[in-house]
Amino acid sequence: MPLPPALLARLQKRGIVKQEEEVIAENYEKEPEKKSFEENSAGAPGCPNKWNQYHVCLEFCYDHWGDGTPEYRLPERYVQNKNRMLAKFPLPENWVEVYDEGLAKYYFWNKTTDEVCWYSPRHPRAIISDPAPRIAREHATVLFGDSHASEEDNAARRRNFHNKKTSRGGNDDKQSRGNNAEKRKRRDPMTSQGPDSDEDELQEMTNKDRLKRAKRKGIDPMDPAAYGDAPVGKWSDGLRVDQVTGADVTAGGPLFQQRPYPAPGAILRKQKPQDEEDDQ
Amino acid sequence: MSYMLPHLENGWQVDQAILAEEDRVVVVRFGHDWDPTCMQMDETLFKIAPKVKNFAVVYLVDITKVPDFNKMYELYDPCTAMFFFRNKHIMVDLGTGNNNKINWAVTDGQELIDIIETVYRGARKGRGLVISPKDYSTKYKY
Repeated sequence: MPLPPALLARLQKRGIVKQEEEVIAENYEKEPEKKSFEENSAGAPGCPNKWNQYHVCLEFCYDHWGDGTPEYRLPERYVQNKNRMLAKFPLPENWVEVYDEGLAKYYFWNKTTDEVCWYSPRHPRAIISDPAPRIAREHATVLFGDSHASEEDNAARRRNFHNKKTSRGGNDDKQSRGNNAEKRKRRDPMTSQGPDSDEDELQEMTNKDRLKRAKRKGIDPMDPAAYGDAPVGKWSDGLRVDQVTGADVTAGGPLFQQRPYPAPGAILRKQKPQDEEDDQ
Repeated sequence: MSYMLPHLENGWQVDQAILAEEDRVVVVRFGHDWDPTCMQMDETLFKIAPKVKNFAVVYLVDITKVPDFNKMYELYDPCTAMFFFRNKHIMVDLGTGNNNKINWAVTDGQELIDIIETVYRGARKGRGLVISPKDYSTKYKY
């Protein structure tokens, strides 16, 4: 006797029902890293925005919407209309009826092509399309620059193959396994914003960083130059060699006064290279 | 009386004049002939030149025509006298704090003769700095 889908989803979320999870694990033993990409295929069970092709269920969706509306609380009139539509337009082969807790409505899912529709596929107003959560993930990949897009495609193909084995409970498995993927994906936007924040820090250095830089350069922390970005140098920096005074800079003070001047010949020989440089 | 003393026209001549003298002190006056301070100094130099010719020779250099030494010797005064012996600059402790040169006009001939004689005796013994017989500091001025 299979359990109701809502109850099965709740039990799997609590970890009580583990049989199907083990089966899932066996299938993915060869490539365990790619398991997480499949877990967000359906989104949060109770989220009513799953139909939005730009909406990716985050952890907030799981916490806020919970398990959604149980199937036994559907209005009787809605159930009668659905049954009448199915009687008039029976489901084709490979199509199954799936209940959505978020919107409290039934939809119809093709297990082979993974296409979905709100009406019976044979209904004249039926619009068959890809599942909205998948399209939303593709949009998120473009926006956030996910580098595992190709691996996701492989995971999607494997999911289709896996869904052939399961019967009606396939959708519940997808819904229950979406929680971990959402947690991982929720960090992607934060990590992608990391470089931006780093750039901001580089543009404006804090006073602490400037003090560290001054310490590296050997500048006194009490010197205002420690916080400035102007280049540091001596008084003579920027002067041409020719303009430097001829004073003897090798000694200062009384020792300087005690030092004799060089001979005139030495001065002439010292000036000769400068003249040649000037000529060039 | 500067026209009665020999003039050096370029740096090479200054170098050669100092190199040529091996037994005498070379007194070089840097300045201009038209400067009043140099006029007084040249008058004194001309007066003592014959008396010290045995141990000193005097040359005049125009710091405008020969600008090679202005920067190194700090020739920024109107009149500057320096002493060389065997291609070596001799310092004199005159009491002014500047031991490298005389940058005022010495009007007393005997004082200048005494200074040159002291430079000659000390330089011949190998000294680079000699003490002037007279103290030219300002402690007698005020």
